[in-house]
Amino acid sequence: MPDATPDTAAQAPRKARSLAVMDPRFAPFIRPYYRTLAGVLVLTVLGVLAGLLQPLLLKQGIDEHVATGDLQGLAGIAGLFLGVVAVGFTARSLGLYLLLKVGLEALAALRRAIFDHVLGQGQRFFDRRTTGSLMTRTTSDVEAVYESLIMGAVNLLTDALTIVGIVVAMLILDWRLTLIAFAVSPVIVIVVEVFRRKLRALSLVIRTSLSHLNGFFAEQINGMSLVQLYGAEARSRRHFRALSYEYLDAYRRSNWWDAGLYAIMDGMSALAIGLMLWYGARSFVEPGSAVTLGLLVAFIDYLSRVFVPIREFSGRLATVQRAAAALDRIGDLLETDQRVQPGTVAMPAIRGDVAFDRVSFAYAADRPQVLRDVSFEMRPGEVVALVGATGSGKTTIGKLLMRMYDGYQGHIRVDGRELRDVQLEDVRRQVTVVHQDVYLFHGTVAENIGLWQDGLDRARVEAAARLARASDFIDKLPGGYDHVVSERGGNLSSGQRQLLAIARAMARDAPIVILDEATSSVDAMTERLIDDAIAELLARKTVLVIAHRLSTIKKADRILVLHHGQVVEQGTHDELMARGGRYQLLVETGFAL
Amino acid sequence: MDRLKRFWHDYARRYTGWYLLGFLFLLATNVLTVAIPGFVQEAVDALDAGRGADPAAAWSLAIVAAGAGIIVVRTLSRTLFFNPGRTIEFRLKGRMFDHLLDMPRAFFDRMRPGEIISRGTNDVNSVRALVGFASLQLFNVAFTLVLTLGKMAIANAALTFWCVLPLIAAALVMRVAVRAMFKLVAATQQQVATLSERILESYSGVGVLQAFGAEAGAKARFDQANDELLRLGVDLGKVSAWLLPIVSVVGNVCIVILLYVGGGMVVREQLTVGELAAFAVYINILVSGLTSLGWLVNSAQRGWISLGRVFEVVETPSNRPPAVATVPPPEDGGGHALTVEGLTFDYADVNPATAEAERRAEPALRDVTFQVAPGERLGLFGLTGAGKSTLLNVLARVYDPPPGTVRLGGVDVRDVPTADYWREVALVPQDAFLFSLSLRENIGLSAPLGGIDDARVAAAAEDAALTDDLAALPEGLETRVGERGIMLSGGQRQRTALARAFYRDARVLLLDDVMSAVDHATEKRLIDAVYRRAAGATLVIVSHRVSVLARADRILVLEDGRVVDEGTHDELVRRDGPYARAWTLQQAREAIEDDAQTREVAGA
Repeated sequence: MPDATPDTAAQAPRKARSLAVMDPRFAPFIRPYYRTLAGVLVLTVLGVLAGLLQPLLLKQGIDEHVATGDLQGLAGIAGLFLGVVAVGFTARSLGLYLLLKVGLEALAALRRAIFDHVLGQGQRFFDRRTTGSLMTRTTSDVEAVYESLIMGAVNLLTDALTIVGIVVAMLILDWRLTLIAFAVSPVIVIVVEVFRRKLRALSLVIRTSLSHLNGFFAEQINGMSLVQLYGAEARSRRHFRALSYEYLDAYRRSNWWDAGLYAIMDGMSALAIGLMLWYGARSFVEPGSAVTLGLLVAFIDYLSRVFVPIREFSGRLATVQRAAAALDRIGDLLETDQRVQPGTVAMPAIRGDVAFDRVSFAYAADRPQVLRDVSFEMRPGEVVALVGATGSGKTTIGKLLMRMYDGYQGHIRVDGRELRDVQLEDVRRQVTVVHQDVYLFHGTVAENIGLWQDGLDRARVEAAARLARASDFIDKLPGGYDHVVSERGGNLSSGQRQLLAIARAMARDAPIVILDEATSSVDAMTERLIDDAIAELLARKTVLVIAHRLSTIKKADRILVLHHGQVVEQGTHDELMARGGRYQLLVETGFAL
Repeated sequence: MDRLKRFWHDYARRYTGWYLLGFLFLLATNVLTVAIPGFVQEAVDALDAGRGADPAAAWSLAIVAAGAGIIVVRTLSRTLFFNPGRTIEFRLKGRMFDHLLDMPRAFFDRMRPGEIISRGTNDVNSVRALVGFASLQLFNVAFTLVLTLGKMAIANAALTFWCVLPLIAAALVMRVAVRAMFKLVAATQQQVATLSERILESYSGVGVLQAFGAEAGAKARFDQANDELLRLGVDLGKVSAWLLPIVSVVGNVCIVILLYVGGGMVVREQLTVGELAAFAVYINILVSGLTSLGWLVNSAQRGWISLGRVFEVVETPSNRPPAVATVPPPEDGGGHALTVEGLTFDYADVNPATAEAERRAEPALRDVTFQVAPGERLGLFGLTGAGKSTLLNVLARVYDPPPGTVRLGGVDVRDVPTADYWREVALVPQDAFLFSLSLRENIGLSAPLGGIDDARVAAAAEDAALTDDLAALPEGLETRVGERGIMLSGGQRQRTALARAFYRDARVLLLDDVMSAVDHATEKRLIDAVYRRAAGATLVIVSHRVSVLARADRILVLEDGRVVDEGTHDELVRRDGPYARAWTLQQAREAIEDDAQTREVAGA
């Protein structure tokens, strides 16, 4: 909307660093466009100048040609005028188009850079950040930079040049008339500032109450059956009315201030024109006066052009500052780097010999150790089960083997090599995992099993699904392997999801598998399929099981019992039961983990 | 037009006074605005005629006065138009919400929650823009154009023709541009949503992507969406850079025409210099009026479409059967008898539209017949998709059954007002939905306004085995559970939902697989509590776990929407059916653990 929308008054920026555009962190994104940007600057100045020239040409035409009856000269001026209009239009539109284009390109590149940066980070990075905040950085903050900084900056620049240009042109033409025209301006500036402050406070109330109202509405729609079944309609109705009224009331108050502000700026140009004419008329009649009719017409034209940019100026400044704050947050994110070491030793074919040698680990320097002096070995083809209560450290062992974290003490060796020295992609390719619950990406079932891996064709995906006992249910889906699933869709049962998680690992050529057993219950028939699929997995790979079920634990070649980050017992099921220690206790309590 | 009439009658008519006043002030604003160029003309002509400074100075002061007047009347006209718009928005939202509170689930299935939410927020907003901003601007622009063109035509018809024709053409071009722009904006928003979805799933599943070395695949998917967004953005840039400024550019061309044609007229003394100056101002006024007309038509069109979408919600009848009966209180004060006879239920009958998309070959329930005696405890067993949840939902009248198929206390349930019916019957759905309130308010959901009975909440929580959890929560019952109960574990959510039903103290309790996320130790306690709490009431409990059903008085076995078996637990395990097979498997699983424990005890 061009002008009359109610002011959604600018919010005070968190950190007003308006020079963030000059931030060296973003130089790589701007550098390819230096020449285009210089061109944009030239075109913008040209466009503004063309606008400034027009009232002068009008004055010239009236004073020099209309007043003297010189029609030929008038045609010349009109032709010149037309040229100026054409140049102005071309310069402005071309400048705007180029700016939008490079702006969008730079921001697409920025968005891509943020995405790459985030995907490359180690687990430590994600431990301290919510997905929501990362999403905001990648989408809304980048969007804010576009809408406010790029669009805002070009408008701000045009407005500033226009205001300054008009005032300068007017001062040159007649400084006395100019001062008179702007005589009331200081008062207006103060009044506008007062109005803006009021509006800013109210707009905060408006946004807060609207988000409460919409949040409540959405929740009620989603839980409507319960509201009805439990007869809570009266309460819901009253709550909705209260929230809705709060929003209404804030808006009604804000409308007064907003309308006033708009009207003041609207009346302003009439006040200035009136004052200027009043003084101009007096000068005009003085003998030898420089004030001509053309001059008065030119001044009227200038004055009706200058107040729109003035009205928009302070609002635009605030938007640009807000974008600067968004840019600042993005810069901070790009500066934070918590990747895991990429490693240098190539290991194209791991056999599956794993050794933990006195490994200790803490998630952060200021946090207690979750693993202390953990040592164990796993030979190719073996199954090792980790058992222990929640927080005993079994999941952490799996994460270290996956190289989700760096910074452990002691040694983890794979086929005799130090794990952190091995190339990361070799580790990730050859150590795979069966998650408790499969995370689904929007796409087909086949894509979700293969995860876009090169060389994983449909035949291999289907073979993996058969081994994982998932093929029966997949065949029954509409479209089979081409059935589209997504995490939000929720169209698979929890048992089917567990089978898919196994299929995902089966589809890899990884000799080492970390099996994180699910705890949620499924119906008995599906449970049996999962048992079979896991048996298949145990028979084929070297498996480290983060175990929750006795049936799996009993199949392990070795069981490690973890307690507070330490291995307290180690052996087979029978050995450990005979020993009568912590393992026995865990079995007795039904692995209530 | 009928839509407009109803809207006017139901919502806007009461603000007629406001609108009339606003209309008057708007008229005043426009008269003053258009008067200013006239005053300019008078002042310039007075100077040109050499009548001295005083008449011109007087006209100048008239301009100042007009400016001051504009400040006052414009403030009033804008507020008088905008505030009723806001109030209408408030009333429309309220009416919509009240209506939704009364709509059956079938409606929400058909329209989808996301769609309803969008209509209750975005569409109501567009309607408000239509009755506030758009109606103001419509009158504003109409007044401006008529008054300005009138003044111009009176001053000089020929000059008006030459100056205005290009502007009208430009306004038509701009109209096309605005329409193209909104199409691109809609496509861009769609693409932003797609891209956000890609980013969100990659960030949420970053562990998976890394573990499976799938970052490259995720980046390729991101790039595809990101590039498409860039392409749409550049297209949008073309329209907004080249087409949208058309009216103001043509306005400048008109000034050139004015100078050339009008200048010639002045020379030939067909026009005064003052009139020439006034025309320059008139053209500026026309440019801003026509520019906002381009936006206005769109805003009005969208508001009009939105009004239809909002009315579609507000005016869809609930189609509840007329309520004519009450359920007689049970003789012994205990539970009600429940009779199901020849019940066939097909989602396609409830929602013909969605049936097309998700064609189910078979009805969800087919010819189901059974009775539940007052106070009886009935178990329902079946595999996923057997129809258990559908049956419970029909019994609870989340979906109304066909006439004559379900009776409560001898009365056809369709004849009972829903509010009365739901006082007798409490359903705990499979999905334990919690509101972002405190635990106490979630449990006491059915309490009358401001009347939650704390003793009853405590008792319900106790029976739902929540006591230990409450002790561990920071603020006990006052703990706010967050959106959809995010602060609680799955098991805690299920038990809170159960406590909510206990608080309701209904005579029929319908439990849909309420222990699926509860761990084994708690399950045993909870089964005890459920059967104890249900004493006196009629209980229908659904589960795929045999251990939950073993204590029911009678168990129905559902398969593909039919009742295929019926009997007590002991009877069913002796027959070779799905129930017995599930029982054997679950026994075997428990045996492994028991075996381990006994061996351990023997070895000790």
